[in-house]
Amino acid sequence: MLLVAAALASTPPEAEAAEVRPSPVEDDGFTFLGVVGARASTSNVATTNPLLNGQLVGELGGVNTTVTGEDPAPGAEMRVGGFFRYTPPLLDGRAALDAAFEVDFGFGDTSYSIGGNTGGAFGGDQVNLQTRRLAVRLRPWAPLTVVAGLQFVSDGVHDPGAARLDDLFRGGGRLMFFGSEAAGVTAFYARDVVKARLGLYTLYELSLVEDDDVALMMADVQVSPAHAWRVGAHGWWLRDRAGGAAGLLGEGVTSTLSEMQGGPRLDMRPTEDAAAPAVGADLVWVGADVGYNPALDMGDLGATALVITNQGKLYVADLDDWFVSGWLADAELRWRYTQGEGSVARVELLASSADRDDTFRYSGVVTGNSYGIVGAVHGTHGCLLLFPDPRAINRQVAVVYDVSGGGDGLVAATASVGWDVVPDRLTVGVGGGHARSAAGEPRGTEVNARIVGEPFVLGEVGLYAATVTGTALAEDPWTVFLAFDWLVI
Amino acid sequence: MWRTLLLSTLAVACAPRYGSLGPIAPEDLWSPLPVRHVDVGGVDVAYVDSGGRGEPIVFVHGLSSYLSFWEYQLPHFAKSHRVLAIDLPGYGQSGRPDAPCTPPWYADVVSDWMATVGVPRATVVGHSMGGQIAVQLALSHPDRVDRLVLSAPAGFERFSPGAGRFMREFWTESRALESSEEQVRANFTAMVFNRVDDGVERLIRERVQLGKHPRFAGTSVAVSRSVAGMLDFPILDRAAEVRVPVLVVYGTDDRMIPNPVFTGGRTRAIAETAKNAFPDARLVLVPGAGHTVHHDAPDAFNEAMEEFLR
Repeated sequence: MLLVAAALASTPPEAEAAEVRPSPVEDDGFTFLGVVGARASTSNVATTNPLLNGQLVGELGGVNTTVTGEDPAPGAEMRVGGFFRYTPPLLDGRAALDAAFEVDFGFGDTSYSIGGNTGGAFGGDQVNLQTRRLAVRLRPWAPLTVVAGLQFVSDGVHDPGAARLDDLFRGGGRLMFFGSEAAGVTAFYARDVVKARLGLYTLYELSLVEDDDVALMMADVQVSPAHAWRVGAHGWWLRDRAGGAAGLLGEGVTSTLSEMQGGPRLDMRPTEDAAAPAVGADLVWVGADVGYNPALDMGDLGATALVITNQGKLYVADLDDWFVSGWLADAELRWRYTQGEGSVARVELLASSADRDDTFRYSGVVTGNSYGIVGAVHGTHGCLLLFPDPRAINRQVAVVYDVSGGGDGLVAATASVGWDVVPDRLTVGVGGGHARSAAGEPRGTEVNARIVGEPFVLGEVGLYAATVTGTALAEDPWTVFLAFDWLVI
Repeated sequence: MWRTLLLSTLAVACAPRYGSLGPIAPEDLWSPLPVRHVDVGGVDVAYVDSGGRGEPIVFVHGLSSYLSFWEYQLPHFAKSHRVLAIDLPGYGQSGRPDAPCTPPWYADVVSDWMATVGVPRATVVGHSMGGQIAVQLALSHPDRVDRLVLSAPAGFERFSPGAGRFMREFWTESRALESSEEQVRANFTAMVFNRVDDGVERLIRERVQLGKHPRFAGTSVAVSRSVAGMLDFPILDRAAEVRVPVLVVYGTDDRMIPNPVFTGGRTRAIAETAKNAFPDARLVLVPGAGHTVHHDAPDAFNEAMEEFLR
């Protein structure tokens, strides 16, 4: 018996050379990701400008002509997005072409009025076709990816072409500062515990032969000092030589664009009857963020926090320069308390500095919303009307649209709790938030509720309702909508 | 619950990194008992055997794991039984043959291995895929099985053809080779285990180091084929043919069964489906435990198993 046991114990492992190896995978190099969203909504938010019936963004009650009334305004809209990537097998994965397009359309009175087809009727062809990505991805060296062309620009180190939503919304500036498409070049580096990003983007290109453009340069680094931990440092520089003249609504902190999207609008006219002067800018953002398990993929507890300051100078034609100095801090805590991705409770606190109305100094926050539609997307608050709903289709309006609070600063708290009645298939949840200016002026208090089902894989149908009280609007806004969202893979 | 949450958070937050460690060969994996090898039909099969005169219990691990996943059961039951645990071919210290790696094939291997090591009949304990294999063994080789103990068994969940195709295409033969240390840790700490302890930390380290060894290529192939095999040979509709007593144990907070993406729902529903599928089965649900219920709640699991074996 002992001999048998010894013989068994001494049997050598099978020779390595004889062992099976993975078979090569047939790959045509083509990948596709689709995004479908549809909403049927009723709310007391309407626009007084028929040209904006279809596409409506910005601060509620502001220059985007949105008003709140007593009568409900029903509407329906839909968006289909397609993201394509072709990685030619010929190049062994060292290069790829990215393209993404988005088609939006609204039905009935919410259709795009431009084109003389108001009302839509049977011709539901009120479309808005946007190019969302058109970029070349090069990978000359395994840790390095260079993306050139029209691409999504985030305010963190993660490559939007490969990152998870939690990486983008809960890393770096959480898209509160920059989160939109722009043309430019980005280099992403990722190796071991270090990630970095260098980016150069042209936001506005006016005359080809003059120094009258707006460019954004971004440098970010993130280190993971321990498992689930991330610490990031960020520096961004926006160079504005357009003098506020770029774009239909202008650009920068003196522009209608900035005001429409809830950013600051500074009046730099020497007298009330003087024309607005041309204003250039050099703005620098410097910040740091820290995160523990932000995607809740290494446990049930996750936390993130960031502090970012913006400094800089505004060059006012024929007048003295202005100095810019503002800051923002944000922290979020999440806890998945039982089975199901939706069984999560979260709380988020946000504070930003206010302009103190000092002469030649703006002491509030500046974000990408002062430089593009939509330039920034604060998306983790869980609110539908108090702050912009990141999943809105054509009608993204909010009482507080930008984290600068219109230059008045912000002190806000949001919280939500969801429960998966049927894990990963049926979620009910409630949430809300409260926001004040930095001086303590109330901006509004939201309560919302949702019930969301997943009738098929990655397809959701949800009923949502929200109202905000304590606003300065004619009527406090409310909305109820049925939403269908489908991630097509 | 708060204690578990706090300890798990601390365990993850303070965990070391293993990226700088060199590769580890399969034969250097830790085992709670001395590992032996035997040739079964031309395949090198590694296993442990406590010996002794007690009733034999055979342990079969799950997908992408190996016999040390039973670290809280093998020494415990070795006090009263003869315990044996196998490293299924493709995993642990066993060979990596060019084999189908389906539940029926593994059931044949387990049956032949039992015959080879002198265990004609035993209580068979299987985890996840190992549970599916154990049921298959009871169907294909009923003379080998006295009783079945199924820890979070796979094979009782119905997948649509599209979901099955997606999973097959996702789990290519090189997919497991592409996992980073972060992905391995996320998988272990958020899906496979609900309670992270030194044993889980050791398993993560071994998985990271093993992933750097050339022989892990064979494991990657085995994972791919095992996934396809589990889809191709579900046991839900055949469980009624099992003629031995069955103990089914699930954790109520299993993050893998039911599949959160393709199925959703409560583990309890799958557990009751499994229990009701057998003519003679009892069900134990362990509150708060996850997919590796015998590791997350070893006392509760061992107690349930002891009671079942009496």
